[in-house]
Amino acid sequence: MSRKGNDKRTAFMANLSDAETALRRLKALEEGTPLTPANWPDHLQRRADNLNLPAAGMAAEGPEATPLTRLREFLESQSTLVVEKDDEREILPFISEKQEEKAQPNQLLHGDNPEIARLQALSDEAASPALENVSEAPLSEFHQGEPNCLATAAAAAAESGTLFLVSGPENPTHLNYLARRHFILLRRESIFITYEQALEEIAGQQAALGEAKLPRSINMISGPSRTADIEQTLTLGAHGPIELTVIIY
Amino acid sequence: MQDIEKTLKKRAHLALGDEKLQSALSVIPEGFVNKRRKAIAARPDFRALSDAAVEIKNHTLSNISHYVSKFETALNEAGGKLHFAETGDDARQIIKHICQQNGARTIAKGKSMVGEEIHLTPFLTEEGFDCIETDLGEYLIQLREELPSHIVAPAVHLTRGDIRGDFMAAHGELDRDRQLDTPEDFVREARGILRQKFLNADVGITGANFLIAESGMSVIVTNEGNGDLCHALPKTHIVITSFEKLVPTMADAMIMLRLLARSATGQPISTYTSFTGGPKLRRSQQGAAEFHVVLLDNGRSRMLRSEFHEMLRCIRCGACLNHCPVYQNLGGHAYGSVYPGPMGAVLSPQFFGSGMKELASASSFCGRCNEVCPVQIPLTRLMRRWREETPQKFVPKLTMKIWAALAARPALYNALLRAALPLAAGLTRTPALANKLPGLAAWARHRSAPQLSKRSFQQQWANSRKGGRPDEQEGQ
Repeated sequence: MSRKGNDKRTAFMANLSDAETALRRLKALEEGTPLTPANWPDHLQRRADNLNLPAAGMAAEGPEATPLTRLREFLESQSTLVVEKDDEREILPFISEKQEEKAQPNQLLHGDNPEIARLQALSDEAASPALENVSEAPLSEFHQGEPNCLATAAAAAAESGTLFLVSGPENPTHLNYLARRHFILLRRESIFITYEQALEEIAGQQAALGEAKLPRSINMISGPSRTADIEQTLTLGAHGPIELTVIIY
Repeated sequence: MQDIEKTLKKRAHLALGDEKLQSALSVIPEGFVNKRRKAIAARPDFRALSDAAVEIKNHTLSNISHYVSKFETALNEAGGKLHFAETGDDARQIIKHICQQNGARTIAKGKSMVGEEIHLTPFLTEEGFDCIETDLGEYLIQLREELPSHIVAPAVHLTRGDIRGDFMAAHGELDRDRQLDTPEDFVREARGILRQKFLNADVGITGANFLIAESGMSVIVTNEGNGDLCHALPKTHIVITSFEKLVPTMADAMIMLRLLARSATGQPISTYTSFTGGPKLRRSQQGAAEFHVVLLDNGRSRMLRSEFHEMLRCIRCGACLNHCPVYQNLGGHAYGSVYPGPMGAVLSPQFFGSGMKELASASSFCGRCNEVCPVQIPLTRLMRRWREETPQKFVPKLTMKIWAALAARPALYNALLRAALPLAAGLTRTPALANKLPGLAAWARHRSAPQLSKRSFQQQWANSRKGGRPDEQEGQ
């Protein structure tokens, strides 16, 4: 397999290289100064200056609009419940109430997450949901019933109402998609206008943790799971969460 | 597999006469066209984003070997492995090999047009794997052993009645008297069945909407979250994709994302967009321990140097299908290719051979596809290239010959027209009657017959030149 694979690979790459040479020669004739991979970063900077993505991301909003109001508007238009809590101690009891309202078992699964632990420490235990750290739990535990889950967002982009979650033991990715009801915590200072700003924030957080690179996976989430595959009728809860609640604090 | 009529013409006639299909297709203008228009209107820099996207794709494609190597290096650093497949068969064998090495039985598959292109799921099923399509639309057509009829909404041709029958037959273990009428009922049932498949899957296979050269990441866009479950749960993950999905950086991918969902479904962004850069880190409990990316060529590198190179910019949004008057009336199956509509007419001969060149004749060349393409592909120009290679001999019918003879004698022609038009105008006033007229009946079967005026255009023109008013249409 490996030798045959290597031969194939070389042939394939040679083929691509030929095409590249030919196209580059053509492009040089057409445009004078072709963009090369070496000057692409400069090009990106010029493009960012020309496009003004933050302005476009807030377009069609009144002058009093903020990234927070824009984020809310988009999330709510996508069937997401958004609540703001000024007092951190109210967050977990609020989730408890929501669960009782829907007659849900008052249990929430989450990862090995210091922020959740911090909120738990300062909340009234009797009024809080039963929190279970399942970062070490095998998948076999998920065969019976569907869990409700809690996670923290690393950042959010107002331009389309999008939350950014990063993978790791703090927020195991599979919980985001196995949850029936999903609660996501988002700090106010992590709300930006554009995707690029949100990514920069994530890179900063990684650097603060001593990680040089972006996390293994980044998940952009903009509402509960949906499908329109049955007669183009929008239906929630295709595979992932049927309900998404975002708590901003 | 479903029976497929040999010629495009036959398939087109069947599609037009299929009332159930016509009713299913009637949702396209409201469901896709209007939503796209609104989404784009809300984004004032859409044209500038589109220009940037064209630049990104052109740049990447003209330096493709550089970006393929860069992607491979980054992927290897993250612990993933890149495989090159020149043909569909190579890709299928590579994937089968990975599945066998991992002792796989159950495979959870996400939606992938490259996968459809090489009939991956039927192949793996035949090889003895329990390979399940997990995108709801793909699952519906897998139950029917059909091809997708749309690149974004594969089951857009199905009605609730169809789906009900298929679910009753396929999910025999469930209560036969269960309620199964509303979209919610169907979605709940599929969710329950597929959830167990996800949890049992040994291998997950997805496509990729974009590949990021600098980080080795694959990007998957879904509304259901099925692609993410295919990636987050099984121990082995395989991405089946092709080199034209590459963009240089994360920032470039973000530009493309702003175009994709707005063009495809009219959403500002799809519900889930996930960037994945290789197998799990050791400190994570869940996730794929093995991560493979299979790059399929299947004629693509040949396109790089041809006049079809612009087609490699395509991001598979489906806007050209949704806005095509031919697609809107025929649906996807009539094309006989997994890539239907204008993009399919251009691509299919590249991937599936010259027999597909006739697809270029399924176009009125109105040019709407060019206008709505977010990466500005000159689709009609490329379709015309195929059409030039498949000239059709024109044999005039007897009626054509008579008309030609009359048209060469203006006095006779006008005299006959003056005599015939009042009668024809009377007959066509009632559509039900008009549709039965000899000569019109076949034409009007799938169109509304025009209502004729009592006076010919030439008469009206002459009248208006004399200072009179052009004839007004009667009965309006």
